This record gives sequence, C-alpha cells and structure tokens, in this order.
Amino acid sequence: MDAELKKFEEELERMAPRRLPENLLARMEAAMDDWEEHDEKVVPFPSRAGESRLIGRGFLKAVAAVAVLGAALALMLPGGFKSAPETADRPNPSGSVLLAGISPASFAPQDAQRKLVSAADQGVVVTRDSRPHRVLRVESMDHYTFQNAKGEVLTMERPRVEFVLIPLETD
Amino acid sequence: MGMPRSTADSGPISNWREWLVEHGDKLLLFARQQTRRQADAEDVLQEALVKLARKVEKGEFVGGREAWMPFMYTQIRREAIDLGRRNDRRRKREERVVGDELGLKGSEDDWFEGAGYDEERRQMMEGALQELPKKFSEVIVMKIWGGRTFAEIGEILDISMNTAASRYRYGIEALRKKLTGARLRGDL
Repeated sequence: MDAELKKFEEELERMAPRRLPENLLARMEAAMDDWEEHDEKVVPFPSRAGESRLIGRGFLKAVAAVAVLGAALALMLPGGFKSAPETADRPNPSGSVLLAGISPASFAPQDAQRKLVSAADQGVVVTRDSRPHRVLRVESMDHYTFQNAKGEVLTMERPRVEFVLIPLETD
Repeated sequence: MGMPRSTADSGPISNWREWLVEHGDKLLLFARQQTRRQADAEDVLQEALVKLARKVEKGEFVGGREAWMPFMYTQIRREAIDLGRRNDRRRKREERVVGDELGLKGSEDDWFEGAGYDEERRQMMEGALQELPKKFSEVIVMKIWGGRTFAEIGEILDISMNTAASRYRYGIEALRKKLTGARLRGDL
C-alpha cells in the first residue's frame, strides 16, 4: 500500500465508532442475561397510523393522477422528449466550413493518426454494479491531413481526453 | 462454560456489561453498516448477542472468549440478511412514505463519535463510507474499527483471505477518491 493510502488509513483509524448509549447498553445487557426468555423472532413494528392512511386507496388515486399529468405534460412539451444530446467528442462535419473560400468537398482525406500524449492513473472507482475499476485518464492528439486537387494540404489537430475503466478482480 | 452472574454485595451484576463496554461500539458500527436504519441495527445486534449468550451459557460455544467477536460479526451479518429479507417489502413502503423523516438524521444515527475529530470531515467520511458498496465497506469496517485480520474477515464472509484483502484495498482507494473529489469540489 502506498504512503498516501497508508496515511488515509491512519486518518480513518482516528475516527472512533459511536459508543453505546447507556440505555442501549442496558437493553443489550438485559437481553443477554435473559436469553432463556428471549423470543428469537423479531416482531415487526406495527405500521404507524399516519403511514397506513397514505397507502390507502386515496394515495393510489393520487399517484395515478400524477402519472397521467406527467404523461400529458410530456406530450405538450415542444419537440417532446429528445434523444441523447450531441457530445463534444462527436466530430462535427460542418466545422471544416470555417475556412473561408475553401469548399470542404474539394479536400480529400489523406491521413489520420492518433498520438498518445499521456496516461495517468486516477485511482479506483466503484461502478453501480459494485465492481471496482481503475480509472485511466488518456490524453491523445488526433492529426488529420486533407489534400485538394491543386495539391494544397490542410491539416487539422484535435486533442482528445478519454477516461478508460479497467475492471479489477476481487473475487 | 458459563458466565459468572453475580457479586456478593451489590446484587446480581452481569459480566456481559464489561465485555459489551469494550466491544459494543465496534459491533454496533458493524450492525449499522449492515442495515439501513439505526433501529434495525440495534435489533440485529440484540439478536446476535442473545445467540452468543445462549451458546455460552449452555456450554455449546466452540472456542474461547477470543472467538466471540468473529462469531458476533458472522451472526450480525446473518441477522441483517434475514431481517432484510423479512422486512424488504414493508421497508420499501415505509421509505416511500416516510422518506422525508428518514432524511432528518439525529445524532443517534451517527456511526462515529464527533468528539476529537473535525465534524465536517467526519460527516464526509461517514457519508462516503455509507455510499460505498456493502461488500467493500463491510471489510473496511471489520478491518479498521474491528481490528480483524484478513484471514478472520475471509472466514466471516466466506471468501478467501486474498479476496478480503483486495476488497479492502480497492474499497480504501475508492473511499479516498470520493473524499478527494469532495475536497476538489470545495465540500471539505
């Protein structure tokens, strides 16, 4: 374990678990003393009066009404629900038109390369399925070369940052 | 083996108290980590303690006093799983209805002592630990605050020692990353 993790571990060790309050301690002690009489079954708490009222028919009607209202609202929204928005990473074909006076159609792709600039360990994250992954931040540079019929060369560079998740085995 | 149960002068005094004072906080923390609510943690802890007392008093407990803690961790975990299964449907309903109520945490819900530690930092740590998937946090709780070895943790969880160690390491790393993120966002 590296020094930083060790330091963090020591910081955690300085936190003390909450002590048992006296009343809880007495309750546990009494339960242990009276183990013979103790009913092993945990009796569920009776549901509270206020809660059960909400679960009744009126509550279900209210839920249904909200659902219908939501559906109606979705239909009335201009354009309805859109699919996923465009990401910054997606190439934008119209971007090349920024060069005034040059028709993008006259340039043909000649070469494309990706060069690795750097890669750094960003630590461990746990994904929603409870699996740990190591996060790598990978920086690269994309180089594109285009050429037109006159032999003019257009080069384009685009930096790229990707986060790569590498699954870690725990069992 | 039975526990001596009384002293001459001051009437019956349970010797469980001394043991509970020494270990109760660690066990409650583990029970809290295994359950969703403080009340459930207390019920689970009580059930496990009663089972320990029964076994010890009836002379059925295999092993010495040093084996009580591993037994308790195993038992708390089992009780929590059983309670979770029994109450899952009821709890879901309750959480929907009294969600706001659950959001209002009292100090009795805290996992750690506030004294001697920066309160904001403690809350962050506690929150990050609670957000961690259970399979990592249970190992961390047993290792750091329970003082268990990876071999013992492996036995309690029915996994290999290496698996316990790697869950611990990755859990600690993930926890640190969560807190580093909080620090960068200015939460700390």
